[in-house]
Amino acid sequence: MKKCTQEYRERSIRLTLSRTRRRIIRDTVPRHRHRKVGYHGLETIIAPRVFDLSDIKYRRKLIKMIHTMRHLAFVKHIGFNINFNRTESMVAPATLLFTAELRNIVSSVGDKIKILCTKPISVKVNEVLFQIGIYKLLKIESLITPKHETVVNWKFTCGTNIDMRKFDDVVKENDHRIIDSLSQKFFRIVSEAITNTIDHAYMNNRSERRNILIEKESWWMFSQVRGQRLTLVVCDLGVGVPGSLPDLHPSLWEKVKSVLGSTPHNGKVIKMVIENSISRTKLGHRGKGFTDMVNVTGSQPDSELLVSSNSGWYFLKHGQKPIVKDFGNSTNGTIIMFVTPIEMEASNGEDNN
Amino acid sequence: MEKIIINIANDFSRYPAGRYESDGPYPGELFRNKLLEPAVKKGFPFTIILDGTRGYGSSFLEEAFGGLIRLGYDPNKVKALINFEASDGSLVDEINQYIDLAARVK
Repeated sequence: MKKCTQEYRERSIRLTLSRTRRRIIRDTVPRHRHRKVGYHGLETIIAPRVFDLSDIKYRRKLIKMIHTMRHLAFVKHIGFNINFNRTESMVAPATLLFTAELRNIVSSVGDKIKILCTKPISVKVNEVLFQIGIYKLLKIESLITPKHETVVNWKFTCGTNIDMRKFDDVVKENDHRIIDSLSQKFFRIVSEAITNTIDHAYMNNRSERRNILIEKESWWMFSQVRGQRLTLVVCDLGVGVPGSLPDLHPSLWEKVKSVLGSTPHNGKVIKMVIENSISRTKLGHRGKGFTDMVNVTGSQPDSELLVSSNSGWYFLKHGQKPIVKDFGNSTNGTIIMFVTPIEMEASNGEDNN
Repeated sequence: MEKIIINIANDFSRYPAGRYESDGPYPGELFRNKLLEPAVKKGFPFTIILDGTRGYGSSFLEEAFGGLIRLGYDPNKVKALINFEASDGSLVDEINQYIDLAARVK
C-alpha cells in the first residue's frame, strides 16, 4: 500500500472542509437564495465597470446598483457584499453619489446588517476606495498607501449642518496658492450649496422611499487641488431641484409647466432655475447660490459647473453654451461639481508645484 | 458715547454661513440676534468690519441684514447707523441690496 504524502493529506482535508461548507450552506439557506449567496453568505452586488453618471449606459448600471443596495438594506434588511472586481474607473460625481448612499445605509442600519466588499483588481480603484474612506467605513483592513497622482489629492468630508470650518480641510494645504478673493468665492459657493441642501433638499422624503431614513449626514463633499485646478463636488440625497419646485415655489413651477409641459425635461428645469436665479422658497429675497456658481464659471477661464439633479443634467463650461439633458432615470438627489483654475499668490518666488 | 465696533471675524466667526440658527454654528440669524440687532437698538452709529473671515455666504448676509428689515427696522435708519469697513466694496453693495429688497418685499 502506498504511503500517503503530506501534500495529499492536506489536499484531502481542504476538499473535505469545502464539501462540508457547501453542505451546511445547502442545508441552512433557502433553496431559492442559493444562486445569490456569495461571500460570507451575503447577497452579492456586482459594481459596474465604470462609475459615471454622464454616460447613459454606466449611469443606468450605477443607479440600479444603488437601488439594489437600498432595497436590500432598508426593505429586506439583508446584508450584502459589493464586488468591485470588475470596476476599472470611478468618476468623481458618480463616486460621490455612491459614497453618500453607502454611508447613509451604514449610518442608518449598519448595526443591523453586515456590509462588506470584495476589493477590486484595479490598483487605482483600490487606492480610490481607500482614499475616500470606503474601507474604513466598512471596517475592512487595507494597508495600501495611495500613490497615483489622480487619487492622492482627493479629500472627502461630510456633515449634518453648515459648519464651514470644514472648508479649511478642503483648502488649507493649498491656501497659499489661492488668492484671497478667489478663496472667498469658493467659500461662498460651497456654503451656498450646503445651505441649499440643509434648507431645501430634505423638505420631503423622496417619493419612492418614504420609509427610508436620512439620518446623521446630510451632505457629502469631495475636493481636489491638482496642478492648477480646484475641483469641488457636493452631493445631497434630497428631493432635487425639480422635485422641490411645486411645493417651494409654485409660481415658478407654473411657469415651468407652461413652458415645458406637466412632466418637464428635468435638465431644462434646472436650466430655468439657474438662469432665473430664483430661490426655491416663496420669498423672493433668497437664492443666490446658483448665481454665484454661474458667475464664477463665467468669469474664470477653464471653469466648469455641473448640476445633476434627479434625472436632469446641466453642464456649463466657460465660454460655451450649457449642455442640458434628461437621462430618464433619477439619482434621487443633487450633485454639484465645480472646477476652476486657482491663481498663484503674486510673486512669492516659489515653485508651488 | 460708547463706540461700537463689530469685527465679524473676531467677535462672531471666521466662518459665517447659513441662514437659520438650526442650519449650523454661525448663521445669519444668530449674528443678527446676538450682535447686529442689539447694536442697532442702541441707536448710535457703529462700525462693522467685514474683513478677516473666510468669506460670506449670500444666505448669511441676506438673513442678517435683510432679516433686520423684516423685523421692522427702517432701512434708511439702518443704513445711516452702520459704517462698513471692507476691502471688498462689492460686499457692502450686496448688503445694501438685501436691505433695499427686504424693504420692498415687506
